[in-house]
Amino acid sequence: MAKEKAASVNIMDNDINEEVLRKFSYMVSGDTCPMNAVIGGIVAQEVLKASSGKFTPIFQWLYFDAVECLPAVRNPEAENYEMNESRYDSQIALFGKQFQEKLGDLKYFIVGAGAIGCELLKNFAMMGVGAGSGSVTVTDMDLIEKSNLNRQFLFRPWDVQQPKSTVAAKAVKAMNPKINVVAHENRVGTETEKVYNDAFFENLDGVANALDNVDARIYMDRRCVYYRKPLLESGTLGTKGNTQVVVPHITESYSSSQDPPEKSIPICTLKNFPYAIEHTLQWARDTFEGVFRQAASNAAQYLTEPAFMERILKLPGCQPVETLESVKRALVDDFPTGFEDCIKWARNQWEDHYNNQIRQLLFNFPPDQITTSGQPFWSGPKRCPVPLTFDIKNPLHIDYIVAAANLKAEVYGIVQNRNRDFITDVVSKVEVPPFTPKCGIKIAVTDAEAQSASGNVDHDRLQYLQKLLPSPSQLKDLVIKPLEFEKDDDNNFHMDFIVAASNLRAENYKIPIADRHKSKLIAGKIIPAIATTTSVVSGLVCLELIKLAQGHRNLDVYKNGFVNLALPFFGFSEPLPAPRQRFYDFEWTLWDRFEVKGEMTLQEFIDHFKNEYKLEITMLSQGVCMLYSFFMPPAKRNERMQL
Amino acid sequence: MASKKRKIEEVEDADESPPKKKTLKVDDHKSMEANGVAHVEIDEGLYSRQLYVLGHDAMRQMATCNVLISGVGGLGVEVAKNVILSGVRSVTLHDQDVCAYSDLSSQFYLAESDIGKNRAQACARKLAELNDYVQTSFYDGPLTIEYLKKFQVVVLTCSTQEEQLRVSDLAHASGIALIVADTKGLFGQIFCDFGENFKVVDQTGENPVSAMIASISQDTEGIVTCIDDSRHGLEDGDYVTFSEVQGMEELNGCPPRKIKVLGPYTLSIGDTTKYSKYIRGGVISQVKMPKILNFLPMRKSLLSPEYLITDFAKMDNLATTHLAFATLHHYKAKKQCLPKPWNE
Repeated sequence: MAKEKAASVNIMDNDINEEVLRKFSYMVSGDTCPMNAVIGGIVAQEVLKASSGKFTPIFQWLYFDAVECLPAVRNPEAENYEMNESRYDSQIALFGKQFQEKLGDLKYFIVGAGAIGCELLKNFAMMGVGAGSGSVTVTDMDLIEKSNLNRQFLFRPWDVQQPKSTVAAKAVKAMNPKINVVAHENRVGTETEKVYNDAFFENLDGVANALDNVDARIYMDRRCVYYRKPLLESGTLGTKGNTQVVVPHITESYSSSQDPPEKSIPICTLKNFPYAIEHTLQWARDTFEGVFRQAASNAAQYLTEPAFMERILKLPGCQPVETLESVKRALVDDFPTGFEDCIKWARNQWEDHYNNQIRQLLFNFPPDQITTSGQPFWSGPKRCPVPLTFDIKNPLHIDYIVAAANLKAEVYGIVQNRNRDFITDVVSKVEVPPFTPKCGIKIAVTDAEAQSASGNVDHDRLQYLQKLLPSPSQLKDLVIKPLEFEKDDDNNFHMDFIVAASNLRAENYKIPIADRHKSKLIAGKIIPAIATTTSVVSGLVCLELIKLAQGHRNLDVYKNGFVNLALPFFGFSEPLPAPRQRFYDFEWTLWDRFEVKGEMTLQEFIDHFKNEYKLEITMLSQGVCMLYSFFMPPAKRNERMQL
Repeated sequence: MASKKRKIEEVEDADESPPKKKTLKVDDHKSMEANGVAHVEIDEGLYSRQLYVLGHDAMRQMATCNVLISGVGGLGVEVAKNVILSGVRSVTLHDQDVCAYSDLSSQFYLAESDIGKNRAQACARKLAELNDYVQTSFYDGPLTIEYLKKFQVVVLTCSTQEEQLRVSDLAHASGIALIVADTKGLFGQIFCDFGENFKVVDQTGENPVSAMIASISQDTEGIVTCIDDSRHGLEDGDYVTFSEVQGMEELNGCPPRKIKVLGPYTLSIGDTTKYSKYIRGGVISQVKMPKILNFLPMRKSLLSPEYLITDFAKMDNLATTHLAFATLHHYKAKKQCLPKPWNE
């Protein structure tokens, strides 16, 4: 019949792949959730494109298939595929009853119950993974927040503040009551290895990551390699997504390849020569950390920790002096007795950062400065700044004072005041000390210069500071609270401070300012996210799970995926094989290990390798403990050999 | 319309206490066309992470959009879930079929207890809960031209080819965007027709690139050279403008100019002979330009399909897959049923 149709849709006979056509005809009543998740995610993004003109639409046909999910050898018995009033009928029509049972007996671990976690749980519930004698363990230590609701679809507004894993587990059980799902609130890591121990891992058929950071991914990868369990890995960034499947003994692991590290901003760029809003935002963020967290933390510890002074004096280099200077500023110089003092302090901070320090910089490097090669100093990435003059009529200036004063107040336990008019009135009366740029102030131009500037430890200053500081007992009623930066609370002044501090500095350097929304993205290091991409990668990862459950051992059956729904772009590649290495005649990969059974002394252990494998051990360690090394002093070595 | 309320036709209210609703001011669809701009407040607390993907402009447009999703099986419910979460104005679920066991392996908002009920009606309430800002409703009547005209985007997931073609013709003629999608076993299909003169406002979603300038020559093919650490990151055919250039100040804030890439640090911007000599400084910035697409209606596109490749390893099978889906419609129309699973 296909051939008749071919003519009517302009397709040539020799373009037809009979194998594909046959497979298609066998599975037309089949239906499996991950396919719908992939296509459904893409289609939804197309709907958004149609309604907004944002991103490039599919022009005009897209076809996707996952025939690799079929088993290598098909069970030919027809009754294996018969529908008989089970919720899995359509999936059985595709893979058969035996496979359906296999899915039900699987024991899986989903790490994370956020966006990807919710989608995975839904897919598992529909596919019947862990719905027989198997089970699904899901763990997440987070609580639900409002901004999660936009893509973590198992959660509702009334679930906010509840633990993600328990709410997610409950929601999917409602979808398929047969699924055995256990919810934990643990963070995976060395501290929870008593829970996720040998017994736990050895019992698993596989692990699916649903994480939001690389460190946790690397940790889970390590665990899966150690226990030789398959790992399904995925991640998204806006409309971009990727999936990776790690198959024990066959593919490389997640950690086998690494993204290049993110470039950090050079120190001199941050301190004196910013040219992009990212620089002023980082500077503002660093200022927040320095003033409202670090300095406050030092002062708080000075007041509450009896061993503080002892500990600080043991630190290397200029750290003792710097730390004590910071405590002195917090408890003496800048110590506020009321909210008006906080305003005064904020005004002086403003003057220092946006006027005085700029003027000092320009004193060292005037606008018409020429370098040794005859070029203008202020050119290219070095933008010549201008000092700002404080103006109570400038809303941005007042924004800064309001935020900084209130944050200062919070640190010292002083009652905050949000009244802008009051603050404007007080600040207008503050007189700032006049400032003249000084000679002999060294300002580094490059990071190399900054490194080489050594800090001579000033012992006299150290003693002077220790004497000057009020003793903790004198200030026993004072509670100092270091502030932890929290970007999502619009009432805490954190973002208010960052935006004002950054934009003021941007004005100094004539860099286009950024609004609050953009500032929050950059300073808060927010990862843009949307449900469509999550749907697609979770679907792709579950298709790989099906292949794993089918027991495929061929590398070319598996697919690592890369998508960008905006362009749109889809690409798949075979996972890379585990790199093979050899010693003598023995080939090995990251999946292989030596297993030594029984109790023995260190000498016997070393001899074992010499005799069995003709290998000489040069170093032996467990965790961070060095048990043996060939360059150990003979006395120590002889002692240990008998253990 | 002064405020948006949750509207669910003929569905009992949720037993749980409904969450607090935020009122939005949404212009009527017709007046939006007249004004060109919709005055909608986007809830940044809810949409925060999505706003960073789509931007305020796109989300304001979406908030005026009425979407019809026809066929609420496993595929339809996935589409509906994602679209409702994203914050369009309304989603109408259309289905004339009842729930059967065959739906339950992927329709996560239907259960055994819904068997025999109209699919759209049975899952509408659960879908509506996903987002208070979206009006979710269901409909089980025919898709007449009058009915279709209420929507800006229509998605068909379970229609016969005859129906697809009928709706496609109507939609194309009325400026309604159409998406046809289907999954059969391990095969998936998507077709898009957003009409003629469809404007893509932002093609890639990437931030416009910019670079610091080292020099600009005076030439019929004026060459811009960027400073050492600063690759321009532009592509052939991109458009740019300039700022802070000293000397050749005519370029500052100029209308977007098309460029030709010569190397990672150099590009040509056309005739600069009539401009003043370049002295120093300046930043070159990309200007994102809209693109106009002209989609073919399904009837035409079926015969000369343009494909987006999803897997280069399977490129050669595209024609076959295209044929397979078409043949299946033909088979269904002739035999009134689907082939049995794995039936030779």
